Amino acid sequence: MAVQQIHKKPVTVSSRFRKLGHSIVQNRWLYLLILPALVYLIIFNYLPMYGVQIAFKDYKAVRGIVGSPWTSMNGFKHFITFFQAYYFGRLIGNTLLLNVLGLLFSFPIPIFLAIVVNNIRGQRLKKFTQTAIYVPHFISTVVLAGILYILLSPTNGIINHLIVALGGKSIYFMNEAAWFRPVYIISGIWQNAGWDSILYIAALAGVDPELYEAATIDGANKWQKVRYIDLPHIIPTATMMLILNSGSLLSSSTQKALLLQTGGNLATSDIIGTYVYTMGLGSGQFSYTAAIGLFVNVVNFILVLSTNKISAKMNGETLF
Amino acid sequence: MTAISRKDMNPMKQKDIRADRLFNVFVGIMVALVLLITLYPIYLVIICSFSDAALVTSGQVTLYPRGLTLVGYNAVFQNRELIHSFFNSVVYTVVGTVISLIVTMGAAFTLSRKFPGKKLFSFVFAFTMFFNGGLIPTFLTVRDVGLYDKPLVCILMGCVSVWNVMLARTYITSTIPEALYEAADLDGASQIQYFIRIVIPLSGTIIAVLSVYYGVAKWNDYWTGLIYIQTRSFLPLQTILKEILASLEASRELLMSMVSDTAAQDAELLNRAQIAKYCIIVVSTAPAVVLYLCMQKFFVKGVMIGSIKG
Amino acid sequence: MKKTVALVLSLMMVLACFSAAFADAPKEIDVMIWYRDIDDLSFADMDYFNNPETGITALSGVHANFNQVKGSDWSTKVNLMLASGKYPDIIVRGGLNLEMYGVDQEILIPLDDVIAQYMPNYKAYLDADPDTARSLTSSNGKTYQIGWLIPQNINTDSHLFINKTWLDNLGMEVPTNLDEFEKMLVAFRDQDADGNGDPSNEIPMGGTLRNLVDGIMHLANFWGVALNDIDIALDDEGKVYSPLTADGMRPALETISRWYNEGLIDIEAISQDSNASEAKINAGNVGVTWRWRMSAMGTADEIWQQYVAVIPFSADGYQARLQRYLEIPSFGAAITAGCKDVEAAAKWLDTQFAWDNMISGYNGAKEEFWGYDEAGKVVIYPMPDGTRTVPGQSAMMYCSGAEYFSKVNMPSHRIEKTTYCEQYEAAGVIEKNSWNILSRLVTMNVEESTQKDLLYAEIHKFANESISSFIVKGVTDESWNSYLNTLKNLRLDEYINLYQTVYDRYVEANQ
Repeated sequence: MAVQQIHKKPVTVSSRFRKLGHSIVQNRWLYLLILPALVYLIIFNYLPMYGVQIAFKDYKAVRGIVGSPWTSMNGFKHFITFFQAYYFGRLIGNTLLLNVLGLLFSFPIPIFLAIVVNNIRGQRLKKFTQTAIYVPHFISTVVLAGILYILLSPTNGIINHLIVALGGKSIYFMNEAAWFRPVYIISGIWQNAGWDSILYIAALAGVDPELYEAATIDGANKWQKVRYIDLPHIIPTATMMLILNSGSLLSSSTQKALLLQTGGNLATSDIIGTYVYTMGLGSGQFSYTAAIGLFVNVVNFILVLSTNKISAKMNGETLF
Repeated sequence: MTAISRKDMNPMKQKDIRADRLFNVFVGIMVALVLLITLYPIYLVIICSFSDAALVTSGQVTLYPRGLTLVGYNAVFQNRELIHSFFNSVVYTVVGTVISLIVTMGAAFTLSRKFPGKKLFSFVFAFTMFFNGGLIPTFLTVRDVGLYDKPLVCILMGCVSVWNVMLARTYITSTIPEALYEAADLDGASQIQYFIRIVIPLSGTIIAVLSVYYGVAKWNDYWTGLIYIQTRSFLPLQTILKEILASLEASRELLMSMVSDTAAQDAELLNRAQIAKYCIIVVSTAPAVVLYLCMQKFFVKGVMIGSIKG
Repeated sequence: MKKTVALVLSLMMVLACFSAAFADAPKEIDVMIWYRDIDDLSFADMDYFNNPETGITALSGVHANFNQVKGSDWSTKVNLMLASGKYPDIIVRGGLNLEMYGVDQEILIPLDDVIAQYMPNYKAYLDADPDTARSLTSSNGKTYQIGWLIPQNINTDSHLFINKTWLDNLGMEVPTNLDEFEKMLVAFRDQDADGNGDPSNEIPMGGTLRNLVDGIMHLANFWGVALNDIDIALDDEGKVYSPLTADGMRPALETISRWYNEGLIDIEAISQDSNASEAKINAGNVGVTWRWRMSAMGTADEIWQQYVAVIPFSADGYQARLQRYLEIPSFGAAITAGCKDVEAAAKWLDTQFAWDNMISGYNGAKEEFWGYDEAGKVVIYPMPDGTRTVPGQSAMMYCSGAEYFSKVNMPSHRIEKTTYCEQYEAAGVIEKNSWNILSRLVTMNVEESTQKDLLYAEIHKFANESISSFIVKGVTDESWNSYLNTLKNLRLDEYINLYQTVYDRYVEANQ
């Protein structure tokens, strides 16, 4: 029986390539627009990428990275040494906890601040607040630590004066392991929430005022406007920020941790960054510290891949 | 617009007036709290910068400056290289930020459109956020490219932040509707015309945000000057300031055990350095605050040109 | 013919002029030089180098192009520079890993022959004290560094100071044993020792935790525990041990903890840094402190003069023991394999070792900042603030203690400390074998030092944590055993053995 066949063009390899070529030509401007950034990344990131192998080598400056010999255990000796370090578990645990708890508590605050600022009714007060909250970002870590030591001093600090006045006992914050994380995280929020809120303030400023008018007419009060207009507007940006931040869950703000670290709080303040810092000081243990750095980067990358996948499923926002 | 009768509106209005008032009060309290928490430490830094070193270190300066002195500011401004480095930084920041904006917006736009290789390019970009060759190979590469000890390196380093590219890309995809693109396409506009005539004007907000992010990052950057510049007259402000700050970290025992016959003068220098760190913050923050005040104008309310409806 | 002769003659004259000019043109070398964070110097502009008559460039015929690097950036920059393949000719001060870069990778050249051939001034100082000179050699017996030695004539970092004025105010005598010491601290805490009407502002004993100069852990010295930065020391018989597990450590910590919790020690001592503890001394609130010395430390005269130095006493059943400070040269300069004209480099360095140049480089130009007195000894004039434009700590300096003190009039603050050191030595309270032997004199090859670094990082961290915890919470049998156990798991024994091996090797090499 002769069946009438719909005339379909056969899909061949060459036709695929032709289609691809046509598509490329069609989008030629896009390639041009992305070219400068690409060149930058190639020069400053990809060309030096060969340096990653330093983690697997016994680096000798005179031989260069490529010429240095591989370490034993198929190049993994430095990693094994790190995994076998007595405090390995504590280092990983402390670093992760510090960052995860930090992210958990500090993530909503910039959004909250942006909504508050957006709803300030006086223009001048609005501008003033907007600028004031961003200034703490510029206080350097060294000074922040200095201020913290003064504010939290068990003998002269204001905080302890307040506690004693309310009937409590003076707390030696800087020397107790239990207090390290709260002090670190809260001071981090103070320092960066305002700065991080810039993006959200800008996003909210871009909301079409007609939307608010329409909502008023529909009978919405301000709380509802926040819920149904502001928040949805922020979600794409917030999601992207969350994905990006999940890529530093094993990283360390070494300088800040070192400044706040004392003999008494080592149980929680001992993080990967401070360990690497003390090793690096020793005698140029480049390969060893590079291996630890590579390990941290790989874990971070995996974390981002996971967050990315979850986010893709939930609302389609992805990093790549 | 839905038609709502006056009858329907009135009963809700009563409840909402109360709810709205509560909201306003809430916002008011929050603002007061935030301003207090934010401004007090800043105020503390400012008064410390004018106070006597010993009083500051022993925590006695809390509400007003004590032992008024300009010693710290002198220590900062007496540095011969400071004024020159200030101008260096202004140039690096302005030029660097402009370049960054152009390059970033171009990349963000491209990544927001569908084209062959989009996933590949996105990955290539994102990958660099996690993996890095390290200081030594980057240093060698910069040197081989001929950028070592050239002011250009201070301008170019960091001019592409993939983080910012991703933020800009998100902004474009979530704010500029696809319908606009289709309309432009129908009108015969090419990708680049679309980019220049429609995307850029509508991206005022994200461009303002990026210029603050890049501008401040460039202004605060001390690392590039430290590693890649040798000629001292090319150094940016922050590198010089960091050196002054580092004098503080030269802790006392190092000073004393070095057995200088000028121990008394050294101790005095150290005392001065204690206050200098507060002055440094004031000096280096002021321009950034000014920059932000200028950029705030651009956080304008939605500039949707009614193009969909029209 | 005449024309030709004239031409030739004039050509020869021109040539002669040129060659004279070139002969006078100084040789160029690249110098990477360290300087202190606290200084604001420009080496290229210094009269010390540029003066046409007395400047180093003129005297040596070698001109240095400086790449100056501040202390806090030094280690990053020097390691980066050595990784880059483009080496400077000379590296001055600051320090770098000689085993790694000299012995192992041969980026630095051995200097034994260079010194013998081209550096007579420096060699004279070396020959005058061969024992000290020997400390400059590396594990393969060669020397990769020019030494830097400022003689101080001291033997320990820290001395015990008690506020005599406070004692007088309370009608008490200077304590001579531990019980009296404790009674004094109690009195300082409870009574109005400084006479200002307020009995609560006095801090009986102040300081930091473990700092070699002002750490309160110096109290452990009363029990013979000479705790130091590397947690390893030598006993009187030359055996390596760790102060962390010394006999006296537990009773010492128990007493310190008791005093701490009774308010006899500044509560912030365990977390504050030296700047903070010094501020308290300067404010006149501290009764007892360990310190480098009293004068010329940035403290007002009327305050520091209240204190008197006291010889540490021994706790019952123990012998007091302080950390001994050895005068060991530190890093002065090294010449790299990238140097094309080693003779010029050596000459530039050696010129700075001529006696007058050495004093000028450290203190300032002759006549302006120093001179000779009638006895022929050097007198250093008081320097107005902010006028130092000489290399100072970045200048070449090498002189043995005895010689320096015999040729130079020492300022009073240097004599102050030397006096205390002599008293302490006579009282026998300083350890016989200095821990500096282990920290600075023994040489380890790259494998040994990597192993040491790994072990040290964890042991030292645990020690800090434990000491802090014992002081705040006290010592129980359980916590002490747990402490010893953890040290065992951290391979403290391996750490001690490593040092013993290296020390034995050192002793044998220096027979």
